[in-house]
Amino acid sequence: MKLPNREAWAPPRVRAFLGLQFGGMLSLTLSTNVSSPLGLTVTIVLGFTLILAAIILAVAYSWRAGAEVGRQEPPQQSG
Amino acid sequence: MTGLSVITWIVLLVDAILVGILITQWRNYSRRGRLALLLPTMLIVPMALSVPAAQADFGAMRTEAFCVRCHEMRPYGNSLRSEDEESVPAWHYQNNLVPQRTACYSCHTDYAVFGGTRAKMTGLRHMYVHYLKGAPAEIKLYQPYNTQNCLYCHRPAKNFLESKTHTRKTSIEEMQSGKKSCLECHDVTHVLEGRPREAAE
Repeated sequence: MKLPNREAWAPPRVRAFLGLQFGGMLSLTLSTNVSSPLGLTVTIVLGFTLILAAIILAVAYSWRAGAEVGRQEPPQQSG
Repeated sequence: MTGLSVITWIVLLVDAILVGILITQWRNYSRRGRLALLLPTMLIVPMALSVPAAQADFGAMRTEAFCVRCHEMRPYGNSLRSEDEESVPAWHYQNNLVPQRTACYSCHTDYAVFGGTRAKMTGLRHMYVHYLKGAPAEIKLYQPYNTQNCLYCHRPAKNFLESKTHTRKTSIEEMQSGKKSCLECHDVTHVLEGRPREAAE
């Protein structure tokens, strides 16, 4: 089995928000399978918190990436 | 496993595939390609899962079966099947005057804009009391029963309007303003098994 090329992997911050997003989705999926009051409350609150955190982190990441691109000097013209 | 949970597991699988592609192939995609994958991963798939899941979960929280899962609420659930004809909750439940499946929620949630939200906050308080403090020996409402919850259904009803006791102007005004509670006259509430019948406060 060919392992994916690690060079192509996403930077840690992207992995973090994708991880949070998947954790939130997993928690919400579990919430539809539990019936105890505590289990239901914990999975719903955790699910929505993680998804919200992922969205905030993703927006912050793209904001920062955009700012870094804006700070870069324009390419030198040759000739 | 219900039909909904099968759907949510399928959506979760789709999400796992998208997240896997994004993590392992991030640098192989152009900015546009990343955005094209991020949009469904961060917005469309979470919406597809969270909206039906939340609807199902919040729906499940309204059922009587959910309320009586806590042992201290079971006598109150049983009281809905009481043979006592003066018991207001039993009368409403047995004559299907409230939806039987969501009987507790129908009478104990305010019919206002934030009634449902307040009910959720009260539910969190119940959780705190149940799991951390322990239920008190005698269970009481946090605040007096809201008369508006009765009037929401009864106020426009013919038998309510035709009743002389209810149609005295002062009486209606007093009820509307909350000065007079329906429970002052209709004072037999939950009749608990093995406990003396008590008048509502």
